[in-house]
Amino acid sequence: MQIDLERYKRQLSIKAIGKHGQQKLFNAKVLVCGAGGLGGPALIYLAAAGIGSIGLCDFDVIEQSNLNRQILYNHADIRKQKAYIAKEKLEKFNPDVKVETYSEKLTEENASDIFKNYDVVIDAVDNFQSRYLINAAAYRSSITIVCGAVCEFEGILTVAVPKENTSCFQCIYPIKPSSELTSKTFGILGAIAGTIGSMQALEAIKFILGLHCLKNKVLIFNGIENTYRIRSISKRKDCPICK
Amino acid sequence: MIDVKINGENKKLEDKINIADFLKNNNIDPIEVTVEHNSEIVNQENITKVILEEGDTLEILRFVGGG
Repeated sequence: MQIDLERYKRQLSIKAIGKHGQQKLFNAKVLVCGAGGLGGPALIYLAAAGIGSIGLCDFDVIEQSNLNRQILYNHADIRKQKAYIAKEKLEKFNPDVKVETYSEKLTEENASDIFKNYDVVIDAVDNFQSRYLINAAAYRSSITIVCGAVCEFEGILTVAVPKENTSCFQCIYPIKPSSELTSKTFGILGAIAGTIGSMQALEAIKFILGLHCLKNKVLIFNGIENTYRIRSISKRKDCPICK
Repeated sequence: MIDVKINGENKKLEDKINIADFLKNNNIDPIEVTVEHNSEIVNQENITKVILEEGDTLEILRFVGGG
């Protein structure tokens, strides 16, 4: 497909992108798991950047209590399927982008079948169970994972690249928490989710362009102090996923 | 008093303390977080055994919310 030079003019002029990089973005396939507070801004910036194929996986419907942070949706969308509304909005936002939706719950059984169609998966889910599932399925399919999370005024972000044998989410959280923790348990501020979701899109874009990304590292954003910390994460020798 | 670095900030603690007690004193439920002590992730079963000492660093990582 011919690149729309006018639409992407302001990023084509970035030395690390140019027409060649823009073509890479158009050829890329990115899956976003969770179209909520993190996934919404990630999806918008992926579409804006001209990622050619975007998948979005979410089985939830829009609730009123989502609207403090889930900026893809508005009051009129309440009780509608997130995947359907997100697809409609993204395709209007950038008609160059092909959007595929998966409105069923992600499971051990369907994850590998879905993931095999993508280069990168953005983990924007709200519970530990899904994070472990995404991490394992992405390693099985050898696709890069951009994992993000938020809690109150703090955000956290890391990238795992199976093809480069990097550390993974399970190196950070080797033991699954015994009780189920979700964003329903913790407070989330929309602007913090927006910051981390945008950074997840940025990490995916940088990975596709072959630029530096947060491999073997964790970035922690403190929205109160306005600070970022970056910590190195060693690969665990006994990690059952990325060993 | 001992000097330690918690989440990138210099802090003074009254005395050496194990990580489980440190988290408890700061109202952090250990199941919500993973902790990195001197650049090593500490397994949950060891958080009562690992002691914060002079010059140590502790990072508390919380990969929870998203939606």
